[in-house]
Amino acid sequence: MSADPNKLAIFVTSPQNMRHVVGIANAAEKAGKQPMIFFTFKSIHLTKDPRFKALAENCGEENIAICADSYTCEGYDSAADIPAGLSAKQMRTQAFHGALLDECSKYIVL
Amino acid sequence: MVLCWTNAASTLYYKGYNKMESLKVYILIANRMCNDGIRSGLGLAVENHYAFPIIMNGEFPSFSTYMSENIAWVKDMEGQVYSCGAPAPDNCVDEEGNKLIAEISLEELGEAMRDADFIIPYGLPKQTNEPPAACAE
Repeated sequence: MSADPNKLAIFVTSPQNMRHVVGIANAAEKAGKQPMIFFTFKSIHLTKDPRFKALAENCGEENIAICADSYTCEGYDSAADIPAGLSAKQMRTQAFHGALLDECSKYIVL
Repeated sequence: MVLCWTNAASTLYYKGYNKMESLKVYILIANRMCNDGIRSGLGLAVENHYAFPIIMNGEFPSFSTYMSENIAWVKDMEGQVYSCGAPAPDNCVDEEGNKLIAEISLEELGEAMRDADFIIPYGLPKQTNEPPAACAE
């Protein structure tokens, strides 16, 4: 599988960069690129940010996911408390990060 | 915020049909909370990438059996967990008592990362203060 020049991967591990996650995702869309976003480690707390639901809905189900294990490790219920804007199939593993590396020609860590 | 870039990658032919890129991924972990960066590296290793989690801070938690097994698994998948700039800990060993975490200097790391396809700064920055006893281990 070759990387798609029209896809931008955003790998989020810090809980301190929501403004940049939203801003870069919006800028990518305006430029005609598809952002693909994976939240893991402490960044899963950003799923409780009021901006998260709109971000998730804007990206679409195939293009945004969170690490279910990180979510559970941080004390959330990955079965009964799926973040607003996500479905159960978007509660993923680190394999989604691997897919980002394969599919996206551009990549940023926040 | 750090931009990463792609480089030429080796190619793995999987089941003779699908072509997959096996990427060299360096995960730089500055904060004392290093376990998740290693776990993330293992996730990439099982996806047929070469994962090199680097513990940059010289601070090591008490390694659980789970974490030691993860570190051994990364090694089995042709990756390696490194300690940069500090001796590797004695409390993370294989069944023969050999250290599972290798040591690498900053200069060696810089050279090694010339071949990296991705360089990932993972998690939070290094803390300047000592953690309280409640979360120090």
